[in-house]
Amino acid sequence: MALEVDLETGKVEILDYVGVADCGTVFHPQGLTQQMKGGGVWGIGFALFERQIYDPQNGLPGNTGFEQCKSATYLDVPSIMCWDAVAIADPQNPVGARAMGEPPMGASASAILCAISDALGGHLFNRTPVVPDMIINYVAGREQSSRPLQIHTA
Amino acid sequence: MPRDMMASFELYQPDSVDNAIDLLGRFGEDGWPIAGGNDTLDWFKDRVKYAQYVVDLTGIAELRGIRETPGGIEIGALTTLTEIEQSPLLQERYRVLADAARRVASPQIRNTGTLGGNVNQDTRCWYYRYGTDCYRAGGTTCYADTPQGQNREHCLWGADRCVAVSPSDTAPALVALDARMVVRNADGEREVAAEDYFIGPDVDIERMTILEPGELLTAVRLPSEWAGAKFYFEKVADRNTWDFPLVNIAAAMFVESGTIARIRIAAGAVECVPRRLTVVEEVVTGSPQNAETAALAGQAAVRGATPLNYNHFKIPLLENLVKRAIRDA
Repeated sequence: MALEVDLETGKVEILDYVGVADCGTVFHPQGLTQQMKGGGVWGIGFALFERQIYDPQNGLPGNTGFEQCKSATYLDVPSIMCWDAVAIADPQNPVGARAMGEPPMGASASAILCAISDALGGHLFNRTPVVPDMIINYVAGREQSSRPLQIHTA
Repeated sequence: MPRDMMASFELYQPDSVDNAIDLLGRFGEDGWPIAGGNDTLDWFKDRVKYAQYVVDLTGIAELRGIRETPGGIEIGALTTLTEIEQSPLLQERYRVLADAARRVASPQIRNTGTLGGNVNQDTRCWYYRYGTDCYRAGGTTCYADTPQGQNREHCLWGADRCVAVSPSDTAPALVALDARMVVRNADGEREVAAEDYFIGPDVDIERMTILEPGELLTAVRLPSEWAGAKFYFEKVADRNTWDFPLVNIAAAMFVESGTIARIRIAAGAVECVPRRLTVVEEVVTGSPQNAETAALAGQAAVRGATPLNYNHFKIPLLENLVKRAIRDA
């Protein structure tokens, strides 16, 4: 994942995406392509756009329509997304296969968050999605409107 | 709350502006003009607003098209955003408006969405759209301006019970171009400056423009005074398409031998109306167009901003966008 962060507008532009799957023997390359790219786009949504809005005082949900859910659009993802597979057969499985439906989402989201952190000199927001206001506030030295999510270690 | 199914209404399809005005005048508060329908049908399907009589304007040919006039250019209110975006005339003389139209929503919406609809659309405050009994909806509360209110998209200036903002991308461009809005009613036609066309909650909390029931925006006139100026438009939204602005900026300026001679600049989504930044205009007029002037302009632009809990990022964002507009136009 390679991206650019605009420090004046807080916008993140993804320049390059490569996903590599350790998914055992590949049986259906076209299906794998779709999972790698589609999951990657979902991960982009997780990391940058799909924000849940909720008013705790009145118990009102803000995301009541598709438009407010803000899944990534064509202009928010790289025009070319590449993938590959390690293609090492899984010894535990009779046909050497492994499941790989979900890994591209988490991997893509994590890669974006790491890249943003790298672009901002190592700063961690500890919260997703990382939206323009968080980057603008960080660059301007302002306090964030939302606190980092708490880690529950009971 | 039932969603997705519209309540039934009577549909009228006039073929001339006179007929439309006649119908809207007759229906008064119960009438609702519809053009592209991108805003209207959301209201109806969510069953938050309802109109008994809907007047479909799309069959009125005289409301369409981009025409040259002796004083500049006249754009019919029913002209689609795609037509504006692709018009060679606008791209050549008033590029800022074509650029603004290009950043509205998505290509599908721009194909049906009209200039009139874009400037007259209602605010996107999600509490108001949700159907709460807020001030703007005739109630006695603002849900957004509370300690826990989710007000990231709301205003920095002009709060008066309501903190909603103007969602339009073309409106700041029209203010920057000193456009004239042509309003028709049963008594005839009048021209209003774009700057005076939009109104805040202090004037009327339930409307966003001066349009009264029974009135229609028929055209927008762009004066030749600002044709061919140096332009700048930028919109910052979460997504690059199909999203409303967090802040947008439109500027028109004439630069003579490196010095800013004349300028108009306006920002959207920071106030209930497109905010003309007169203080920036005063600061930069007569100054060289460089990074130093741009930095001063940015600082001047945000003076007096009163942020809410979640929207204070708009202060540095507006400052940066003004800086860019002056520096990079």
